Amino acid sequence: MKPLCLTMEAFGPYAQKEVIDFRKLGDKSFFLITGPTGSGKTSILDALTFALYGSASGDLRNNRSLRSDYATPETKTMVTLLFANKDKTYEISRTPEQELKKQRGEGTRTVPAGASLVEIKGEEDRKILASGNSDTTKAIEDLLGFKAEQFRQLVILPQGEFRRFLMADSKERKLILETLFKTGAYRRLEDLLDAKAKDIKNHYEELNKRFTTLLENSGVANIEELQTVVTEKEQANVAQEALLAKQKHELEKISKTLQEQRLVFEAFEQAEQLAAEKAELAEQKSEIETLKKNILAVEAALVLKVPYEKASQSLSQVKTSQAYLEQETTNLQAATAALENAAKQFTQAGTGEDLTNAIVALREQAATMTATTRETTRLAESLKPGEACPVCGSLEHPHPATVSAKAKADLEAKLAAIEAQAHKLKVQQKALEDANTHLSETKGKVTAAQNALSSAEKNSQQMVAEFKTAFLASPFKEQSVFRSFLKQSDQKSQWQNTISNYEKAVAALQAKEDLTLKQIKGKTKPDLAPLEAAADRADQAMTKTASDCGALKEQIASSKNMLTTLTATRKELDKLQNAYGPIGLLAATAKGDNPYKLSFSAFVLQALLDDVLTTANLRLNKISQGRYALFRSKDINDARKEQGLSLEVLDSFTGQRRSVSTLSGGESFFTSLSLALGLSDVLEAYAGGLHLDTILVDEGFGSLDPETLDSAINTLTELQAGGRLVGIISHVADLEERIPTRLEIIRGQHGSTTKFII
Amino acid sequence: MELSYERLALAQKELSVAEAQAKKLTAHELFTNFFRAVNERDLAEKEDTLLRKALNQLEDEGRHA
Repeated sequence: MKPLCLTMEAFGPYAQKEVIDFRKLGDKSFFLITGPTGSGKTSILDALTFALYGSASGDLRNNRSLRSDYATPETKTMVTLLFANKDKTYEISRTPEQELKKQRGEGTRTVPAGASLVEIKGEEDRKILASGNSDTTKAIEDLLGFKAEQFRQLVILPQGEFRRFLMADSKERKLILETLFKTGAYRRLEDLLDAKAKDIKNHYEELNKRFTTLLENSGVANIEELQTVVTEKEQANVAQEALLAKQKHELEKISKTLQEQRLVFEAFEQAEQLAAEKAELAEQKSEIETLKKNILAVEAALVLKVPYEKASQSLSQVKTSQAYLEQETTNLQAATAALENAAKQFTQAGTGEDLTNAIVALREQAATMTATTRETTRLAESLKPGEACPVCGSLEHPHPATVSAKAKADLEAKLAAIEAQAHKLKVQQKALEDANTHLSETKGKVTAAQNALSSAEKNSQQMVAEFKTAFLASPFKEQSVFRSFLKQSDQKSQWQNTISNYEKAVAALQAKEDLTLKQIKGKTKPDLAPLEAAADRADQAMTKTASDCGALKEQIASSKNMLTTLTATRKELDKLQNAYGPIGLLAATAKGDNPYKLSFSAFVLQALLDDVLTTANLRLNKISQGRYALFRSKDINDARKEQGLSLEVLDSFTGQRRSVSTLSGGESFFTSLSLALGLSDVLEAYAGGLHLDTILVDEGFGSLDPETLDSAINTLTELQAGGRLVGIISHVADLEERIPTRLEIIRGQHGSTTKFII
Repeated sequence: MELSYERLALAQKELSVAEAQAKKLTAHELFTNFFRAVNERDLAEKEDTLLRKALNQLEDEGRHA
């Protein structure tokens, strides 16, 4: 970082806008900032530090005091720094929190702090990198590579804080070096190795705990013991297997005997059962014999069946013929009576001849009457007035002749009566004829019936005779018995089946009995109970042994599984132990668990500090005219705690090393200056390090004797030769003569102003 | 075991010179120097492999950070 132009407004003693354009220095980059006490020399360093980091250069100055007491309420305190860093140009502006006059109305208002960082790429090309107080500070820290504290220790060396790096304790120096040289990675390597080692260790311990628990659960002290247990159990298992085989054989033997005896026992049981069944069949034998006799009787009855039925039918026919004859005879009597009655009635009605005559007479009478009437009527109808009646010749016909109705009616009545009688007579005659015909027919039937009866009787006698002959030849004594068996003939097949079944049953039973008797021949019925009890005992014994055997096998399997798990765990533990070996050593070494008690990060820092000291000593040697050289203190007990970063100074006058705290004010000033410059050089020399293009030293020169002052000035002049901007703040008059290029601070009644004298 | 500061100083010096001059000293070389200095022996192959792994992891974390 190299300042190009600093603009201050209402800042410290600068009431107005004050511009310090460092570019005016040209190639003269070693200059003196001079002015009377209180004129605002240190305020320039404050303004630089405030612009970059938002804080003043020294601890004693706070931000509120940065505002100029000369400033009017309307004037805003503001600092702007144009600077170059690594070939780029930036502008940073900041305003502290301040009380300003209200834009409207009376009174003041608190304006919060503000800041912005801009990269200037060209006149019109400005890129805002950050805005706001904290963001801008963060951006500048990233850009420059150090914080405000380091800036004050490396670039701006203000009063009081100038000697901090020299006088700092190991711990503080360590922080400074870590920040400047970015050695966090070495610390992280320590942590990473430690974490890996711890991880393995934890894993190992966890696994070992599990391993121990498994052993405890197994009731053994180690894997070998478990292996012995497994072997013993396997041997026990072999013995039990042998016992089991023996018991199994024993059981099979007993079971076989029992099986055989059971068969004999069952044969005896069966024989008893068959005997009982045989007795039962014997009881049925007489019944079967009866059935057999019945069958013979039925068969005999069936032989008689045809003649018996014929005889029965002929007798029945006789009875039928007799009944018919009786009926016809009765019919004949009735027909005879009917004829007689008809004849009698016909006779009572007169003869037929009389009646015929009467009918003829009447018919003639009627015909006459009818003809007369028809003629009379014709004459009457032909009569015409004035014409003579052919009968009476009267010309008048007041009463033409008519037929008497009564006469006509009488005649008709008579005729009807006669016709009725004639009809009746005809009916009676017909009835008489019918009765006669019926009588004749009946007589014929009676004759036929008599004939039929005679024939039936004759046939019956023959049939009965034939039956009797057959019956006498049959075994039956009585017809009733015969008829009884004939009636039962339909049961014959059923009886035959019964007999057949019985005989089959008898035969089968006999066969079974023969077989069974053969089986038990010469044997006695066994008592199975003792044998069964023995079989039970053998079975129980074998079951128990089998159960024990199974349990033992399960134990063996379980133990073997456990053995496998434990072996695998042991293997894993060994693996972890092997892994932990190197990583544990690396981690322990890195953390400082080594003969030197030196951690890796401390080692690196020590190396860096040695480099810084080497470079610093080059200048210190010149400034102190060969008297002093800085060294790292090696008188340490534990580098892990003390870091091994303590400094000592070797005084060549005495040849002794002593603490830097024993240096006088002037000595500590130039030693600090040498150290700061050495630090700057090393930082620059390291790849990726910082570029310290500027160093501004505030005071301290007053404490130097003239020779030392010369050496210090010469040293700083050499820095200038390296292209670095070197500014010295001092009111030492002697310095004005030695350093012609000056920035003079002019104190005025209304604030200070500056002026470059080149 | 006595502290061998001379040896340590030599190792540190080597480191400083190497880094300052060539700026090529890697973290691995740095640690190797350190390990050799404090343990008075070189890293075993297994240790060296583990260290490289750790450094690679660190580098990866740095890249992802």
